[in-house]
Amino acid sequence: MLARPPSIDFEALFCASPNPYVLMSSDLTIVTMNDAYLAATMREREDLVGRPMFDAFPSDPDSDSHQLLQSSFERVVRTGERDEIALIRYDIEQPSGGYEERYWSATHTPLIDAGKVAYILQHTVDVTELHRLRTFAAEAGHHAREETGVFERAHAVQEANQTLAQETQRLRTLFEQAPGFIAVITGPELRFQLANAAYRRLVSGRDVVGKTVAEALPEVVDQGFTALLDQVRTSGEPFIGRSVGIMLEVEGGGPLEERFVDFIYQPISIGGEVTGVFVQGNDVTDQRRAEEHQKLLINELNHRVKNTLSIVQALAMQSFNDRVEPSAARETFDARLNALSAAHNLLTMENWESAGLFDTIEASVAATMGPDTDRVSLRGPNILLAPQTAVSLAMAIHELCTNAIKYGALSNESGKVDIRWTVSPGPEKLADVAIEWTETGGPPVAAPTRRGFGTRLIERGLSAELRSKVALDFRQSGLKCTILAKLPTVSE
Amino acid sequence: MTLEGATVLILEDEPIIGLALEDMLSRQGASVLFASQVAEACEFIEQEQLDSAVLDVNVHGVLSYPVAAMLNERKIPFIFATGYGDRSHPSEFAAVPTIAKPYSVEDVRRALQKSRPLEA
Repeated sequence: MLARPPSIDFEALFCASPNPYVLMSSDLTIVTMNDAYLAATMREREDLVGRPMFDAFPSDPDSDSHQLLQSSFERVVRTGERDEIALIRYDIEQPSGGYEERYWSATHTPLIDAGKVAYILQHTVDVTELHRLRTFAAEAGHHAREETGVFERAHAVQEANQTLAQETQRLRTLFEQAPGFIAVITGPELRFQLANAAYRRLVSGRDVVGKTVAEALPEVVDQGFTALLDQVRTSGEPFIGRSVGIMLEVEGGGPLEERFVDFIYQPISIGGEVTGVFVQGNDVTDQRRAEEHQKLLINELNHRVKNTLSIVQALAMQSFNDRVEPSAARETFDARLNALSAAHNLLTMENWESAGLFDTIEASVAATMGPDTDRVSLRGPNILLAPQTAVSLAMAIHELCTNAIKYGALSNESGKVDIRWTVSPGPEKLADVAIEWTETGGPPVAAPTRRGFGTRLIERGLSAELRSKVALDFRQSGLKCTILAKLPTVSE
Repeated sequence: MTLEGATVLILEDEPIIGLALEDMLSRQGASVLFASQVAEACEFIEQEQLDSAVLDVNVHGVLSYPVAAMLNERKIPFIFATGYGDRSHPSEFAAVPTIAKPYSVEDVRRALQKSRPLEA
């Protein structure tokens, strides 16, 4: 038994290994290498030691080979973890001059000192040989070990690639499903490289990827969007648009449709040079339409309020005059406001679009008489009236009701009022309406000496389009009022 | 202009407001012709000798500017009445006195006094 392990000369082991090794400092200066490495690269030790790696083995900095190797070194320095290159073409200068096409597989292992990567050990295998191995399988026995090493590394890289592919797929899915629209437009010809689902929705499902903006969306060129993209590309300055109108083709052609978008054109710069434009934004058309609609509603409301104030003012003028005692005038005015309010309630229920003829008369009667409406009977169809007509009719019925309460059939305990009407459809949303208001059982009535507001109102304008005809027959048995009017209606 | 003895056309689609305006003008001694639609107003202009007019701008969703143009041709002064506070008239009617609803007797009188036949 040995008391302790024999001392091993690691340097000798390193030099004797059949695997090619080269050791670099973290700034890629070659520190040392073994004989196998010198053999593989066809170089002398003194040519390499102390020289930067890419100086000793020059390659075009823009070539894939150069970038693949450099990025592997950078990953090792950055992460402190081993990095693999399954296959890399890296041509080697021959001693006789010229370059020889060579393929390599490499493992870069970091050597850590004080928590930082101090050295990188490159284990490289010349796999140009593999072709020969494959071709001359029988003679390949002594290369089997290298081959196994290469395949193990290739497997490790493959796993890494799989992880990368999954990551890429995940990002692609996120990009595709992002709620905002996203597109990438590259090159001076403004070609779509990417466009997500939201973007395709914006352009009515048109296939834009691979086409230039002018080819894919010809209608936007004259709207200045390509000029804007060019400006962003050449200036390198982003452009931010808020609620910008854009006319876009809808599916299946036809006239253009206006959409509104919030968007940003963000220049994509690589190495200080703008290579394309990242387009990102939201379709805010619905929001914009809602705002416009709201503005319209507020204007309409304002108009309606002004109109209502005018009506209230007019009712006040009709109620308060020299002929009427102030307390009675106030009572009249209050009752009129009440009837107006009932008509408004009815209209509000129907969004101020219409009110039923039956409903209007019924509401006006109820507003005037209170709960005691048994003595008034209503019979007739409930056609839909235009809002203004409903208000006028409600006020006219209110005046007739008030008159009946003060002087007519409703001034005693037993009188009754019968209201019935017939409707025959007229031309263009006008209905011929014949209303008969018949009072019975009241005290004997006599024609008033002057025409009141109610009568004038009925005569003047139950109809907006044509004057109505009103006949007031003050019979001994009670008032009979016949109204013939063409009333503007609203179709259901 | 003075309202005493004048013939004034009212174009107003809201009967209750129209009645009140008619009363206002009648009390000032004017005789009133009442139209509730644009075509009716045009008929009055063609058939009657008018001294002045009060035109609601929006009559059942139809703008009354064609009526204004007819009055203009005949050198009849007029004013606009509107429930849309912020609406501006076409340039040829920019100088027409305009009263906003609800208006007082005094508003109407003052506006009518200011009204002049427009330059052609």
